[in-house]
Amino acid sequence: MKRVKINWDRGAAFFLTLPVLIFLLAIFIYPLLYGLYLSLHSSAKGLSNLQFVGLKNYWDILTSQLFWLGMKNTIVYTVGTVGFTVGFGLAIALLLNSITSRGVWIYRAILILPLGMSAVVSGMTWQMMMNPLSGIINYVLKTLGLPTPLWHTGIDTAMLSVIIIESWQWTPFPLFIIYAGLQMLPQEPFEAAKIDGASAWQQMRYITLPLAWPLIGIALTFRLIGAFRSFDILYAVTKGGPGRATDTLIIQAYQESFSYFRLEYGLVVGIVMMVITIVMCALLLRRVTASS
Amino acid sequence: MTPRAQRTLIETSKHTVMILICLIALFPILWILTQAFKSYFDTIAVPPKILFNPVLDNFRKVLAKPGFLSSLKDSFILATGSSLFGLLLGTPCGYALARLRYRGSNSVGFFLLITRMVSPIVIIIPLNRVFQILGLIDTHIGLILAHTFINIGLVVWMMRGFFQDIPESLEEAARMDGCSNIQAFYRIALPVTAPGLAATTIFCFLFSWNELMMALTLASLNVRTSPVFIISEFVGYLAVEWGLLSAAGILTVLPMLIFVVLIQKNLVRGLTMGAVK
Repeated sequence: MKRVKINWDRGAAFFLTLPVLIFLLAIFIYPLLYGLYLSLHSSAKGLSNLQFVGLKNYWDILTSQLFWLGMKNTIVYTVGTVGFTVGFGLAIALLLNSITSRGVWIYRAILILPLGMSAVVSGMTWQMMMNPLSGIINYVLKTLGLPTPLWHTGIDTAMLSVIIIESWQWTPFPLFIIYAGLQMLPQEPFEAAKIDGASAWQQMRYITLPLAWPLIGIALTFRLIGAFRSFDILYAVTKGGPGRATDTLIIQAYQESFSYFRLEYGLVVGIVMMVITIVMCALLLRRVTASS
Repeated sequence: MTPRAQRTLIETSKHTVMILICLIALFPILWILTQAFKSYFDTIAVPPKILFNPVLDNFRKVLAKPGFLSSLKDSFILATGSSLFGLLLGTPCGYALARLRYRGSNSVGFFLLITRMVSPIVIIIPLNRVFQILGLIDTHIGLILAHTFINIGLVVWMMRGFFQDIPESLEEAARMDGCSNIQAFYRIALPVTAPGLAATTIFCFLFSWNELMMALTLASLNVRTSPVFIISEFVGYLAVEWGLLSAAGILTVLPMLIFVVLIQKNLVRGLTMGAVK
């Protein structure tokens, strides 16, 4: 087919793109530059009496124990939730894809629901279920004769608890990305493999997974960036506690600036997180969006 | 075992595992649903009650609780306002990115991606100050602008994908008939992508409705969204009223649960900003 190319003038492009750019200039770029400016100052004497301190804030914060504790917690939380969500998502997607009966839409409709839950409400719900004394989970564990952990209220188990909650909420995301990909796979390789006598396991190992890999990559990338900045569940369930057991960078940035009024901390951590996110996008997402 | 019996066995076990997984996905939602209909003593009963006498007390109390209905109203105003404003700003840009190869179009696309991926924490502190100076703090307009920022990248990228799906010859034909480029956009391309517009709107609505961080930091007394209301009214007390909390939670999430089932077909697309169709 001959491709008809519309003869576009630059003016139209300009006219169509400009509103967004003006909006972002006002609400993103300007505050960002203002934030950078503030981060180079000390606001100890109030925002109207700033003292220029250069990179001192950055130096102080990036060499503090608090920051690296937050970084460690962020990495544990991110790796944990990405591992769980993508692992389970892949497994469930493969299972769902292998079911051919008509009722499969019911499974799909149910599995999608956690994504619609507001993170605050799912956080509260799990808090209720994980309550060490009156929660349903410990009741079941006790009845089965198993140990009953303190879940989100215990220093050792808090991180695992919030990872479980975030994973419950977000597993449908990689699940449906990978499932969508599996549904679009060509049928020929599978038919050929069947004729050659390949087992179900061999088909999955040598055909399904290699073909689905790009989608697994997309799911991983989006979850990685999403979990790194995840705030709502942590804030609703533990607020970084108990102690500092679940204190991730974003929780620190929020708490330090809005509860203890150490604005510098929030600014510097926010900027560091932004740089990390941009690097992740440039390395991982650029390829993803370019190939689509 | 005959091959047929074997196949039946495999199918049955697949369904069994799937039903178990669905139960895990569904359980927390069912749990607050049942808690919401329990009387006070049933919500804290040990062992937890599976069978109980359903009552409407919690809903009655929550609806009468000062601030709850107005928080739903605030959330609705913000979600509607920011969705519409985001579409108005972002749809033309999505069209330009889908149809035009102009210098810098890739950079514009990447920049919009960044705005969506970066945590808003980076601009919240300065934005708070700017909003205070402009009198936008704790107002609907202020939060509509903030939520529009959260969704603008999504709108542009999603609409770009939907516009790429329609054949360019359609607009070319309109141009032959004397339409200008801009007219071809809003007379031809826009109506054709109506389902895409609808899906994008629902996504924006959903994200704004559930958003917490900006609603928490850029507003306080006048504008209180539903997640903020729930977190400030029910969390942190020693004696948590699980029944009330559950009723408020169910009323907040129910419309969104219906939404996600409705947009199933476009769900993956929305969550990956159009990277996966």
